Amino acid sequence: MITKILSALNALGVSVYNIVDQTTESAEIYFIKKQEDMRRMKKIREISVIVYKDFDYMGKPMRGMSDVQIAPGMTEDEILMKLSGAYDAAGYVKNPFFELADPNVDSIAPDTEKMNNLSSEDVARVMADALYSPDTNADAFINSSEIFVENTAYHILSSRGTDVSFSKKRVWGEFVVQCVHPEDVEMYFDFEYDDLDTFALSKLASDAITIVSDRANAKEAPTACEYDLILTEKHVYTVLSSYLEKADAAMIFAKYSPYEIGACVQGENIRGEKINLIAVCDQPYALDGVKLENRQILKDGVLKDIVGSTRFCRYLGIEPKGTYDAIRVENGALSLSEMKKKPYLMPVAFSDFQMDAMSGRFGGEIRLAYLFDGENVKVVTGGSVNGSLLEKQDSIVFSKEAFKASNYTGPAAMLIPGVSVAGA
Amino acid sequence: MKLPFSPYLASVKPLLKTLIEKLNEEYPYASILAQDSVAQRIGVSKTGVNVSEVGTLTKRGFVARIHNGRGFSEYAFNELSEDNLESILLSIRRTQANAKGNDPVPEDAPHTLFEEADFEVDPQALGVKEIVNRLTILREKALEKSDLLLDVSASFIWQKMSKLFLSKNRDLSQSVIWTNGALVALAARGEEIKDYYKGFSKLGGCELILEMESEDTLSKVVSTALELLESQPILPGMYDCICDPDTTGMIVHEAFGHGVEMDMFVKNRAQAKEFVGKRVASDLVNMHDGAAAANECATYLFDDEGTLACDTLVIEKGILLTGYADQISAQRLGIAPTGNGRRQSYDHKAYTRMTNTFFAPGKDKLSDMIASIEYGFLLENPSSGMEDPKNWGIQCMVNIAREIKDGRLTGRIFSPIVLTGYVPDLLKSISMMSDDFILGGGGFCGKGYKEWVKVSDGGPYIKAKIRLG
Repeated sequence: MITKILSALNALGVSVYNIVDQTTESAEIYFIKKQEDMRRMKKIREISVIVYKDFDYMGKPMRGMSDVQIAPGMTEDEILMKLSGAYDAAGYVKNPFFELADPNVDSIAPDTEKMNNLSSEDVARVMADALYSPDTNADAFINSSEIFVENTAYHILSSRGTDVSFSKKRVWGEFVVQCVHPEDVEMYFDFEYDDLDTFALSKLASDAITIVSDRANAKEAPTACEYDLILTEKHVYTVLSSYLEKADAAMIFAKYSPYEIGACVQGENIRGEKINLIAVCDQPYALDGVKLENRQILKDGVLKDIVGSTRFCRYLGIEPKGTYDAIRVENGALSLSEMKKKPYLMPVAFSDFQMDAMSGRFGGEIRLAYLFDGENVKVVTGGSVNGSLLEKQDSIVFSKEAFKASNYTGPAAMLIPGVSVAGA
Repeated sequence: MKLPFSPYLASVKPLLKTLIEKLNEEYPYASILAQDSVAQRIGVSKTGVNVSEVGTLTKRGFVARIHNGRGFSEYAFNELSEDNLESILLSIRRTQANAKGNDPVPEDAPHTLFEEADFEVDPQALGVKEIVNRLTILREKALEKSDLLLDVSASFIWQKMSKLFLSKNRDLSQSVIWTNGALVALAARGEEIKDYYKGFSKLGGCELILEMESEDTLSKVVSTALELLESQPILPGMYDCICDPDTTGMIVHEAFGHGVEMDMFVKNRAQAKEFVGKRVASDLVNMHDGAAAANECATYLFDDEGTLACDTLVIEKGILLTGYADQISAQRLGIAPTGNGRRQSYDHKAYTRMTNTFFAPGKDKLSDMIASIEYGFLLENPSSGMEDPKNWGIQCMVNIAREIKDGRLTGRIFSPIVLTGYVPDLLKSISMMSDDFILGGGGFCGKGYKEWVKVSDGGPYIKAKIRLG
């Protein structure tokens, strides 16, 4: 197929291109309670081709681009027609010239040990056993679950000579826990691992069952007012990943983000803790062929690096760094128990917690929170958090305790003072 | 004009029929869904011009569903030729070998259908050059309106899709085309950026661009973004509210609609299961869902399990009549499927999904509704929502709450706004419903946090008591 594509590109006179050829094989198991509901498998090959066209516009060099998907069943004529359309379209994309990523040639053999040499179906079965191992309570249990095991092989080629191949394995999924007494409630959880981490999945399921049991006992919404808010685990990631989002070259180029190297993005007068944040690579190469490596983004609240696609990094005049999703954040000085000595509201589950990097606002409806009034801790449900990171980022505090997920390693909790909550 | 059915699917149909015949020799039930779709997004913004096919919507492939006498299994693939037919059969056998369950073999009533979609202007015939030019002019016109704008982006997306469903007794073919547009204005105050989004949708072709080019619309997009710069956080509380049709759509879809997806009934995940035949809303409320209920972006003739499209009356005069169901869930619940078995694409599982979901219009005038409010808000521009079928908790966000005092809009606006509360409480509090009827199909709906399918929702303006924060 790649030969057919290269032949078509040559016939069209396309001299600048980037090809990503990926084949995904997966095994999926769906459960209702502990009963297997459906089994699915797939083998899918998808090829994406970006074609570039160079031209001058008002005396300035341009490099237009357009991308198309090539399916395995396409004939040579179909491929030629698709690529021809893309090449024509690229001529109307008046974007300033930029050079593609510098060439890399590499072939990384699959890590066959990673999932203990098990087949995808067997990995799914082992993870299912781990998920359901803490499910022993008649009142609080796993209502349903979906487990996916994916193995994707990548091959990236470019006209500048990039030719790299690598593969990624991951096991991911979601489950819903339900507690039927004293009130019938449910909560949603998801997971993703790049290895056979049965321990982590069992712990997550166990914690989820505890949380949904607490949720079943929560009756009241918190009173509407401002609280010292303690966010935990994946919600900490959601808030802190907004710093990575604003350090993206495309955001900075468009001035959607005011970040510049050396700027104190947390403010000049930091009363809380200074953020140290690293962008972590979870694959060896970005899809535009850039070699990925961990990069320090924030050091003591100061922007140290900018990441992003080749095009926007070139526009900013910096070396292409690639795009990242995972972050590592330095833990704080305060233990969670010390954090909890003063009154707080600690939501551990939202219906949909959101962070808008551009406005700096975060919030969501509370499914379960622990409210400490200075004397007692009670469980609450309902109401919604509506906070501004921009207003509070100079006074946030991180926990000593760490949390690890596939896209995050860092403090398990962060305290944000004086956040508005709409409650009862 | 007609959107021609995929020549590729027509060419591989004999091979797929051979595959079905072979599978029918081994299993009591086998079906194949074949998809051939292409979608392109064209956008202009400060970051430049973008022309790209949308990977999640540009798909060519197949999924075989098997019932082995005990339960269902599925195998998805996208390489098909006479040479690899045996290899596909081996993979299907491997997938179903461990399939468990006690589902009966599904019905396979005979039906044949071949239908091609009608539309006016072909996006590919109009061409990238023309679309880029028109979007660029739109953007430049908007930017000229204020120096306070950080950016205005204009985008247009279209999808042409053909689907073929084959089983022993069914042979269904259809083509569908939809288009979406979006204008987004961003205005900045210091580091905080406010944005206003206006979406456009059509079951059809590039004729949609004309709607985007309305001068009034462009002015409203810009002026609202600027208004948002002056917005304030709202004082949390319970208020009399009027929801615009977009916000009504979000309440219909997110707050209530997900709760009557009947795969949730099978899993005992939906409170609505206990409310069938009971009051869930005020007398004014009549709710529909169905791919045959309206002509919008979620309109089709058969779903991804080969069930013909329906118009399901979900709520009649406030009483919950039924939900909607995919094939397997309907079978388990002992009801007929409603044509709501949908996949993100051929390589994803089918679930019960919404289609065109809406409240039917009432008889009130918007002006009377505003005049009826002593103190409250007109809610506009929904930004996100999340379902909670088990507990019917509302989690919806809107960008704008316009203050109403003594029956008049004061010009003050509050943002962002979170709607919370218990869904039936909100629906039972609906006291007025306008005679407008507007559907929006600019969005995609997820099942939880994945499985995105095209939907539309909306209805009239509604007046209700809603907790805002």
